[in-house]
Amino acid sequence: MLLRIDAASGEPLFAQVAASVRAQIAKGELREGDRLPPARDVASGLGVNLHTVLHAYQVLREEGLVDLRRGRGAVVTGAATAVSQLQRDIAELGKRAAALGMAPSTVVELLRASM
Amino acid sequence: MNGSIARRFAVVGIVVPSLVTGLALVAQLIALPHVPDPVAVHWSGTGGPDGSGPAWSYLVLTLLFGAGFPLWLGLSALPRVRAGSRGWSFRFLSAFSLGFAVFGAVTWTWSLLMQMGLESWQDAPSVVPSLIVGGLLGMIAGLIGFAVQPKTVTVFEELPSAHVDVASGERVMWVGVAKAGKGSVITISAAVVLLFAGAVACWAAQQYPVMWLLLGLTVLIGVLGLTMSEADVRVDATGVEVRGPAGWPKSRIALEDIASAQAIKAEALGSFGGWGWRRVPGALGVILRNGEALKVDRKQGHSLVVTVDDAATAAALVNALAARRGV
Repeated sequence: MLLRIDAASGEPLFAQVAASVRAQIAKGELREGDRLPPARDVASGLGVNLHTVLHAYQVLREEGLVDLRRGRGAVVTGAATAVSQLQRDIAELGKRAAALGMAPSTVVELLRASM
Repeated sequence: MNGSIARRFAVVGIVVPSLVTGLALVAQLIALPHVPDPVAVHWSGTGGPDGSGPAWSYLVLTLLFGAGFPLWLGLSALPRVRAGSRGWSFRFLSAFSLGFAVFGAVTWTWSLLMQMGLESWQDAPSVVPSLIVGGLLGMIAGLIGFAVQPKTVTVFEELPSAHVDVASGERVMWVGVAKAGKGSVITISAAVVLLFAGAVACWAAQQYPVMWLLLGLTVLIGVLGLTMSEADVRVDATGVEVRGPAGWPKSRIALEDIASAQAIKAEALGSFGGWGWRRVPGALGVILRNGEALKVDRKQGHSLVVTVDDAATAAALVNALAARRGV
Protein backbone atom coordinates (compact mmCIF):
# COMPACT_ATOMS: atom_id res chain seq x y z
CA MET A 1 0.00 0.00 0.00
CA LEU A 2 1.04 3.52 -0.78
CA LEU A 3 1.45 6.14 1.95
CA ARG A 4 2.21 9.74 1.08
CA ILE A 5 2.61 13.05 2.84
CA ASP A 6 3.57 16.51 1.70
CA ALA A 7 5.65 18.48 4.19
CA ALA A 8 4.89 21.72 2.30
CA SER A 9 1.15 21.35 2.87
CA GLY A 10 -0.37 23.20 5.82
CA GLU A 11 -2.07 20.09 7.19
CA PRO A 12 -0.41 18.54 10.27
CA LEU A 13 1.79 15.56 9.36
CA PHE A 14 -0.03 13.13 11.67
CA ALA A 15 -3.33 14.03 9.97
CA GLN A 16 -1.74 13.42 6.56
CA VAL A 17 -0.48 10.00 7.62
CA ALA A 18 -3.92 9.12 9.00
CA ALA A 19 -5.59 10.39 5.82
CA SER A 20 -3.20 8.31 3.73
CA VAL A 21 -4.11 5.14 5.64
CA ARG A 22 -7.80 6.07 5.44
CA ALA A 23 -7.49 6.48 1.68
CA GLN A 24 -6.00 2.97 1.42
CA ILE A 25 -8.92 1.62 3.45
CA ALA A 26 -11.41 3.47 1.25
CA LYS A 27 -9.77 2.05 -1.88
CA GLY A 28 -10.02 -1.44 -0.43
CA GLU A 29 -6.22 -1.84 -0.42
CA LEU A 30 -6.44 -2.39 3.34
CA ARG A 31 -9.09 -4.78 4.58
CA GLU A 32 -10.35 -6.08 7.87
CA GLY A 33 -7.63 -8.06 9.64
CA ASP A 34 -4.75 -6.48 7.69
CA ARG A 35 -1.84 -5.26 9.74
CA LEU A 36 -0.64 -1.68 9.36
CA PRO A 37 3.14 -1.46 8.89
CA PRO A 38 5.06 -0.95 12.15
CA ALA A 39 5.07 2.74 13.12
CA ARG A 40 8.88 2.71 13.18
CA ASP A 41 9.00 1.62 9.50
CA VAL A 42 6.51 4.29 8.44
CA ALA A 43 8.42 6.93 10.39
CA SER A 44 11.73 6.11 8.73
CA GLY A 45 10.10 5.57 5.32
CA LEU A 46 8.38 8.95 5.32
CA GLY A 47 11.13 10.71 7.22
CA VAL A 48 8.88 11.80 10.10
CA ASN A 49 9.04 11.44 13.84
CA LEU A 50 7.92 8.11 15.34
CA HIS A 51 5.43 10.00 17.55
CA THR A 52 3.82 11.54 14.48
CA VAL A 53 3.00 8.07 13.16
CA LEU A 54 1.86 6.83 16.58
CA HIS A 55 -0.37 9.92 16.80
CA ALA A 56 -1.86 9.08 13.40
CA TYR A 57 -2.50 5.46 14.46
CA GLN A 58 -4.12 6.79 17.66
CA VAL A 59 -6.46 8.97 15.58
CA LEU A 60 -7.41 5.96 13.45
CA ARG A 61 -8.05 3.96 16.61
CA GLU A 62 -10.34 6.66 17.96
CA GLU A 63 -12.23 6.48 14.66
CA GLY A 64 -12.57 2.73 15.22
CA LEU A 65 -10.74 1.90 11.99
CA VAL A 66 -7.86 0.06 13.68
CA ASP A 67 -7.24 -1.86 16.86
CA LEU A 68 -3.96 -1.22 18.60
CA ARG A 69 -2.75 -4.39 20.29
CA ARG A 70 0.41 -4.91 22.19
CA GLY A 71 2.68 -7.21 20.21
CA ARG A 72 0.42 -7.37 17.14
CA GLY A 73 0.58 -3.72 16.19
CA ALA A 74 -2.26 -1.92 14.46
CA VAL A 75 -4.89 -4.17 12.87
CA VAL A 76 -7.66 -2.94 10.59
CA THR A 77 -11.12 -3.53 12.12
CA GLY A 78 -14.46 -4.51 10.60
CA ALA A 79 -15.45 -0.86 10.57
CA ALA A 80 -13.10 -0.47 7.58
CA THR A 81 -15.57 -2.25 5.32
CA ALA A 82 -18.34 0.11 6.35
CA VAL A 83 -16.06 3.10 5.88
CA SER A 84 -15.02 2.09 2.38
CA GLN A 85 -18.74 1.72 1.58
CA LEU A 86 -19.46 5.15 3.09
CA GLN A 87 -16.65 6.71 1.05
CA ARG A 88 -18.29 5.34 -2.07
CA ASP A 89 -21.65 6.78 -0.95
CA ILE A 90 -20.03 10.16 -0.33
CA ALA A 91 -18.44 10.12 -3.78
CA GLU A 92 -21.87 9.35 -5.21
CA LEU A 93 -23.42 12.17 -3.14
CA GLY A 94 -20.76 14.59 -4.38
CA LYS A 95 -21.48 13.65 -7.98
CA ARG A 96 -25.25 14.15 -7.56
CA ALA A 97 -24.78 17.48 -5.76
CA ALA A 98 -22.50 18.68 -8.56
CA ALA A 99 -25.08 17.61 -11.13
CA LEU A 100 -27.65 19.73 -9.29
CA GLY A 101 -25.25 22.66 -9.34
CA MET A 102 -24.92 22.86 -5.55
CA ALA A 103 -21.88 24.58 -4.05
CA PRO A 104 -19.62 22.26 -2.01
CA SER A 105 -20.05 24.49 1.05
CA THR A 106 -23.82 24.07 0.86
CA VAL A 107 -23.48 20.28 0.69
CA VAL A 108 -21.10 20.29 3.67
CA GLU A 109 -23.54 22.48 5.60
CA LEU A 110 -26.44 20.11 4.82
CA LEU A 111 -24.32 17.16 5.83
CA ARG A 112 -23.33 18.79 9.09
CA ALA A 113 -26.97 19.63 9.88
CA SER A 114 -28.00 16.04 9.29
CA MET A 115 -25.53 14.61 11.80
CA MET B 1 14.85 -20.32 -31.35
CA ASN B 2 11.89 -20.60 -28.98
CA GLY B 3 10.82 -23.83 -30.61
CA SER B 4 14.29 -25.30 -30.57
CA ILE B 5 14.88 -24.56 -26.86
CA ALA B 6 11.54 -26.04 -25.91
CA ARG B 7 12.19 -29.05 -28.15
CA ARG B 8 15.58 -29.73 -26.60
CA PHE B 9 14.10 -29.34 -23.15
CA ALA B 10 11.40 -31.88 -24.01
CA VAL B 11 13.84 -34.33 -25.63
CA VAL B 12 16.30 -34.21 -22.73
CA GLY B 13 13.83 -34.07 -19.87
CA ILE B 14 10.89 -36.07 -21.13
CA VAL B 15 11.36 -38.05 -24.35
CA VAL B 16 14.73 -39.75 -23.72
CA PRO B 17 14.00 -40.52 -20.03
CA SER B 18 10.68 -42.09 -21.05
CA LEU B 19 12.40 -44.16 -23.79
CA VAL B 20 15.14 -45.33 -21.40
CA THR B 21 12.51 -46.26 -18.82
CA GLY B 22 10.47 -48.07 -21.47
CA LEU B 23 13.51 -50.11 -22.60
CA ALA B 24 14.33 -50.97 -18.99
CA LEU B 25 10.76 -52.13 -18.42
CA VAL B 26 10.86 -54.34 -21.53
CA ALA B 27 14.16 -55.93 -20.42
CA GLN B 28 12.76 -56.52 -16.93
CA LEU B 29 9.54 -58.02 -18.32
CA ILE B 30 11.58 -60.45 -20.45
CA ALA B 31 13.66 -61.42 -17.40
CA LEU B 32 10.62 -61.83 -15.15
CA PRO B 33 9.94 -65.57 -15.81
CA HIS B 34 13.62 -66.44 -15.23
CA VAL B 35 14.24 -64.88 -11.82
CA PRO B 36 13.59 -66.57 -8.46
CA ASP B 37 10.37 -65.76 -6.62
CA PRO B 38 10.79 -63.80 -4.44
CA VAL B 39 13.85 -61.86 -5.59
CA ALA B 40 16.45 -60.01 -3.55
CA VAL B 41 15.42 -56.37 -3.16
CA HIS B 42 17.70 -55.19 -0.39
CA TRP B 43 21.39 -55.68 0.31
CA SER B 44 23.28 -55.35 3.57
CA GLY B 45 26.17 -52.97 3.94
CA THR B 46 28.62 -55.84 3.52
CA GLY B 47 27.33 -56.77 0.06
CA GLY B 48 25.08 -59.82 0.45
CA PRO B 49 21.30 -59.67 -0.02
CA ASP B 50 19.32 -59.31 3.21
CA GLY B 51 15.77 -58.65 2.03
CA SER B 52 13.42 -60.16 -0.53
CA GLY B 53 10.28 -59.09 -2.31
CA PRO B 54 8.20 -59.75 -5.40
CA ALA B 55 9.98 -59.32 -8.75
CA TRP B 56 7.37 -56.85 -10.00
CA SER B 57 8.47 -54.34 -7.34
CA TYR B 58 11.44 -53.59 -9.63
CA LEU B 59 9.10 -52.71 -12.47
CA VAL B 60 6.99 -50.50 -10.21
CA LEU B 61 10.09 -48.67 -8.91
CA THR B 62 11.49 -48.21 -12.41
CA LEU B 63 8.15 -46.91 -13.65
CA LEU B 64 7.54 -44.58 -10.70
CA PHE B 65 10.97 -42.98 -10.73
CA GLY B 66 11.66 -43.17 -14.45
CA ALA B 67 8.29 -41.90 -15.62
CA GLY B 68 7.14 -39.81 -12.66
CA PHE B 69 9.69 -37.04 -13.04
CA PRO B 70 9.34 -36.66 -16.84
CA LEU B 71 5.55 -36.70 -16.46
CA TRP B 72 5.72 -33.97 -13.83
CA LEU B 73 8.09 -31.93 -16.02
CA GLY B 74 5.77 -32.36 -18.97
CA LEU B 75 2.77 -31.16 -17.01
CA SER B 76 4.35 -28.33 -15.03
CA ALA B 77 7.48 -27.00 -16.73
CA LEU B 78 7.03 -27.74 -20.45
CA PRO B 79 4.01 -25.44 -20.91
CA ARG B 80 6.02 -22.62 -19.28
CA VAL B 81 9.05 -23.22 -21.52
CA ARG B 82 6.78 -23.34 -24.57
CA ALA B 83 5.28 -20.01 -23.47
CA GLY B 84 8.75 -18.45 -23.54
CA SER B 85 9.81 -18.71 -19.91
CA ARG B 86 13.58 -19.18 -19.57
CA GLY B 87 15.77 -20.07 -16.65
CA TRP B 88 18.79 -22.10 -15.64
CA SER B 89 16.67 -24.43 -13.56
CA PHE B 90 14.68 -25.62 -16.59
CA ARG B 91 17.99 -26.73 -18.03
CA PHE B 92 19.00 -28.28 -14.72
CA LEU B 93 15.68 -30.02 -14.09
CA SER B 94 15.54 -31.64 -17.51
CA ALA B 95 19.16 -32.81 -17.24
CA PHE B 96 18.40 -34.16 -13.78
CA SER B 97 15.37 -35.98 -15.13
CA LEU B 98 17.54 -37.67 -17.76
CA GLY B 99 20.35 -38.58 -15.36
CA PHE B 100 17.95 -39.92 -12.79
CA ALA B 101 16.06 -42.03 -15.33
CA VAL B 102 19.33 -43.54 -16.65
CA PHE B 103 20.55 -44.26 -13.12
CA GLY B 104 17.28 -45.95 -12.15
CA ALA B 105 16.93 -47.91 -15.37
CA VAL B 106 20.53 -49.22 -15.32
CA THR B 107 20.67 -50.02 -11.61
CA TRP B 108 17.27 -51.64 -11.23
CA THR B 109 17.42 -53.57 -14.50
CA TRP B 110 20.92 -54.83 -13.68
CA SER B 111 19.85 -55.81 -10.14
CA LEU B 112 16.98 -57.84 -11.52
CA LEU B 113 18.75 -59.34 -14.54
CA MET B 114 21.72 -60.53 -12.45
CA GLN B 115 19.29 -62.76 -10.55
CA MET B 116 18.22 -64.67 -13.71
CA GLY B 117 18.66 -68.42 -13.34
CA LEU B 118 19.32 -68.29 -9.59
CA GLU B 119 17.73 -70.91 -7.29
CA SER B 120 17.01 -68.49 -4.47
CA TRP B 121 17.22 -64.76 -3.83
CA GLN B 122 19.87 -65.45 -1.21
CA ASP B 123 22.32 -66.40 -3.98
CA ALA B 124 22.14 -62.92 -5.50
CA PRO B 125 25.51 -61.26 -6.03
CA SER B 126 26.45 -57.85 -4.68
CA VAL B 127 24.47 -54.84 -5.86
CA VAL B 128 27.48 -52.52 -5.65
CA PRO B 129 28.64 -52.80 -9.31
CA SER B 130 25.14 -51.95 -10.58
CA LEU B 131 24.98 -48.93 -8.29
CA ILE B 132 28.43 -47.67 -9.36
CA VAL B 133 27.88 -48.18 -13.07
CA GLY B 134 24.31 -46.88 -12.87
CA GLY B 135 25.45 -43.83 -10.92
CA LEU B 136 28.28 -43.08 -13.34
CA LEU B 137 26.11 -43.53 -16.44
CA GLY B 138 23.40 -41.42 -14.82
CA MET B 139 25.87 -38.62 -14.14
CA ILE B 140 27.29 -38.76 -17.66
CA ALA B 141 23.77 -38.71 -19.13
CA GLY B 142 22.86 -35.76 -16.93
CA LEU B 143 25.96 -33.81 -17.96
CA ILE B 144 25.31 -34.50 -21.65
CA GLY B 145 21.69 -33.49 -21.16
CA PHE B 146 22.85 -30.25 -19.59
CA ALA B 147 25.48 -29.58 -22.27
CA VAL B 148 23.20 -30.04 -25.28
CA GLN B 149 20.87 -27.31 -24.06
CA PRO B 150 21.80 -23.70 -24.72
CA LYS B 151 22.84 -21.49 -21.87
CA THR B 152 19.83 -19.30 -21.26
CA VAL B 153 19.48 -16.01 -19.55
CA THR B 154 16.54 -16.00 -17.18
CA VAL B 155 13.71 -14.14 -18.86
CA PHE B 156 10.73 -13.08 -16.82
CA GLU B 157 7.28 -12.47 -18.15
CA GLU B 158 6.53 -8.80 -17.51
CA LEU B 159 3.19 -7.77 -16.07
CA PRO B 160 1.34 -4.56 -16.99
CA SER B 161 2.95 -1.55 -15.33
CA ALA B 162 1.27 1.07 -13.16
CA HIS B 163 1.95 4.75 -12.72
CA VAL B 164 2.63 6.62 -9.49
CA ASP B 165 3.08 10.39 -9.40
CA VAL B 166 5.60 11.78 -6.96
CA ALA B 167 5.72 15.55 -6.56
CA SER B 168 9.07 17.12 -5.76
CA GLY B 169 8.38 17.89 -2.09
CA GLU B 170 6.34 14.78 -1.44
CA ARG B 171 7.40 11.87 0.73
CA VAL B 172 5.98 8.58 -0.46
CA MET B 173 6.48 5.01 0.65
CA TRP B 174 5.05 1.65 -0.30
CA VAL B 175 4.79 -1.30 2.03
CA GLY B 176 3.67 -4.79 1.25
CA VAL B 177 3.81 -8.21 2.82
CA ALA B 178 4.94 -11.18 0.77
CA LYS B 179 3.04 -14.23 1.95
CA ALA B 180 3.58 -17.90 1.25
CA GLY B 181 1.03 -19.91 -0.69
CA LYS B 182 -1.25 -22.27 1.23
CA GLY B 183 0.46 -25.32 -0.27
CA SER B 184 3.91 -24.53 1.03
CA VAL B 185 2.60 -23.55 4.48
CA ILE B 186 0.86 -26.92 4.73
CA THR B 187 3.89 -28.82 3.42
CA ILE B 188 6.32 -27.17 5.82
CA SER B 189 4.01 -27.46 8.82
CA ALA B 190 3.45 -31.13 8.05
CA ALA B 191 7.21 -31.73 7.74
CA VAL B 192 7.88 -30.03 11.09
CA VAL B 193 5.10 -31.98 12.84
CA LEU B 194 6.25 -35.30 11.34
CA LEU B 195 9.90 -34.69 12.26
CA PHE B 196 8.93 -33.76 15.80
CA ALA B 197 6.65 -36.80 16.10
CA GLY B 198 9.59 -38.92 14.90
CA ALA B 199 11.81 -37.37 17.56
CA VAL B 200 9.21 -38.12 20.25
CA ALA B 201 8.95 -41.70 19.02
CA CYS B 202 12.74 -42.05 19.18
CA TRP B 203 12.69 -40.62 22.70
CA ALA B 204 10.11 -43.23 23.71
CA ALA B 205 12.21 -45.95 22.08
CA GLN B 206 15.33 -44.56 23.80
CA GLN B 207 17.05 -44.02 20.44
CA TYR B 208 18.75 -40.85 21.63
CA PRO B 209 21.23 -40.16 18.79
CA VAL B 210 18.45 -40.39 16.19
CA MET B 211 16.22 -38.30 18.43
CA TRP B 212 18.80 -35.49 18.50
CA LEU B 213 19.22 -35.72 14.74
CA LEU B 214 15.45 -35.42 14.23
CA LEU B 215 15.17 -32.59 16.75
CA GLY B 216 17.95 -30.73 14.94
CA LEU B 217 16.16 -31.23 11.64
CA THR B 218 12.89 -30.05 13.21
CA VAL B 219 14.54 -26.78 14.27
CA LEU B 220 16.34 -26.36 10.93
CA ILE B 221 13.22 -26.95 8.82
CA GLY B 222 11.22 -24.82 11.26
CA VAL B 223 13.58 -21.85 10.89
CA LEU B 224 13.81 -22.27 7.11
CA GLY B 225 10.03 -22.57 7.03
CA LEU B 226 9.65 -19.30 8.92
CA THR B 227 11.85 -17.46 6.41
CA MET B 228 9.67 -18.97 3.69
CA SER B 229 6.39 -17.92 5.28
CA GLU B 230 6.46 -14.12 5.18
CA ALA B 231 8.61 -11.15 4.22
CA ASP B 232 8.06 -7.41 4.57
CA VAL B 233 8.75 -5.34 1.48
CA ARG B 234 9.36 -1.62 1.71
CA VAL B 235 9.97 1.01 -0.94
CA ASP B 236 10.89 4.53 0.13
CA ALA B 237 13.18 7.41 -0.80
CA THR B 238 16.20 5.50 0.53
CA GLY B 239 15.62 2.41 -1.60
CA VAL B 240 14.04 -1.03 -1.48
CA GLU B 241 14.23 -3.40 1.44
CA VAL B 242 13.02 -6.97 1.94
CA ARG B 243 13.02 -8.39 5.43
CA GLY B 244 12.16 -11.84 6.72
CA PRO B 245 10.29 -12.45 9.95
CA ALA B 246 12.05 -10.87 12.95
CA GLY B 247 14.19 -8.82 10.58
CA TRP B 248 16.16 -11.74 9.17
CA PRO B 249 17.15 -12.50 6.46
CA LYS B 250 17.38 -9.02 4.99
CA SER B 251 18.30 -7.51 1.65
CA ARG B 252 18.28 -3.90 0.62
CA ILE B 253 19.20 -1.88 -2.45
CA ALA B 254 19.91 1.82 -2.07
CA LEU B 255 17.95 4.07 -4.44
CA GLU B 256 21.14 5.35 -6.12
CA ASP B 257 22.07 1.77 -7.12
CA ILE B 258 18.71 1.05 -8.74
CA ALA B 259 18.44 1.04 -12.53
CA SER B 260 14.73 0.25 -12.77
CA ALA B 261 11.93 -1.90 -11.43
CA GLN B 262 9.15 -3.94 -13.00
CA ALA B 263 6.28 -6.17 -12.03
CA ILE B 264 6.92 -9.65 -13.33
CA LYS B 265 5.53 -13.15 -13.14
CA ALA B 266 7.90 -15.28 -11.09
CA GLU B 267 7.98 -19.04 -11.12
CA ALA B 268 9.46 -20.68 -8.07
CA LEU B 269 10.56 -23.84 -9.83
CA GLY B 270 11.33 -22.61 -13.30
CA SER B 271 13.34 -19.51 -12.52
CA PHE B 272 14.62 -20.12 -9.01
CA GLY B 273 14.66 -23.89 -8.60
CA GLY B 274 12.36 -23.74 -5.61
CA TRP B 275 10.96 -21.60 -2.81
CA GLY B 276 12.50 -19.39 -0.15
CA TRP B 277 15.45 -16.99 -0.21
CA ARG B 278 17.42 -18.17 -3.21
CA ARG B 279 20.49 -16.86 -4.97
CA VAL B 280 20.52 -17.81 -8.65
CA PRO B 281 22.71 -16.41 -11.43
CA GLY B 282 21.66 -12.80 -11.92
CA ALA B 283 19.17 -12.53 -9.10
CA LEU B 284 18.35 -12.95 -5.45
CA GLY B 285 14.84 -14.31 -5.18
CA VAL B 286 12.57 -14.11 -2.19
CA ILE B 287 10.11 -16.55 -3.66
CA LEU B 288 7.26 -17.41 -1.35
CA ARG B 289 4.73 -18.34 -4.03
CA ASN B 290 4.28 -18.33 -7.80
CA GLY B 291 3.01 -15.27 -9.61
CA GLU B 292 3.17 -11.50 -9.29
CA ALA B 293 6.55 -10.25 -8.11
CA LEU B 294 8.53 -7.03 -7.79
CA LYS B 295 11.83 -7.14 -9.68
CA VAL B 296 14.39 -4.45 -8.91
CA ASP B 297 17.39 -4.23 -11.23
CA ARG B 298 20.66 -2.83 -9.97
CA LYS B 299 22.79 -0.61 -12.18
CA GLN B 300 25.48 -3.19 -11.58
CA GLY B 301 25.04 -6.64 -10.13
CA HIS B 302 22.18 -9.00 -9.50
CA SER B 303 18.50 -8.12 -9.36
CA LEU B 304 16.18 -8.57 -6.43
CA VAL B 305 12.93 -10.43 -7.01
CA VAL B 306 10.26 -10.72 -4.35
CA THR B 307 6.82 -12.23 -4.81
CA VAL B 308 4.37 -9.68 -3.46
CA ASP B 309 0.86 -8.49 -4.32
CA ASP B 310 0.42 -5.08 -5.99
CA ALA B 311 3.98 -5.29 -7.33
CA ALA B 312 3.08 -2.94 -10.21
CA THR B 313 2.45 -0.06 -7.78
CA ALA B 314 5.68 -0.82 -5.92
CA ALA B 315 7.64 -0.91 -9.19
CA ALA B 316 6.05 2.33 -10.35
CA LEU B 317 7.05 4.04 -7.11
CA VAL B 318 10.62 2.76 -7.39
CA ASN B 319 10.85 4.15 -10.92
CA ALA B 320 9.24 7.47 -9.92
CA LEU B 321 11.61 7.89 -6.97
CA ALA B 322 14.62 6.96 -9.09
CA ALA B 323 13.54 9.42 -11.80
CA ARG B 324 13.05 12.21 -9.25
CA ARG B 325 16.47 11.53 -7.78
CA GLY B 326 18.03 11.68 -11.25
CA VAL B 327 16.54 15.11 -12.03
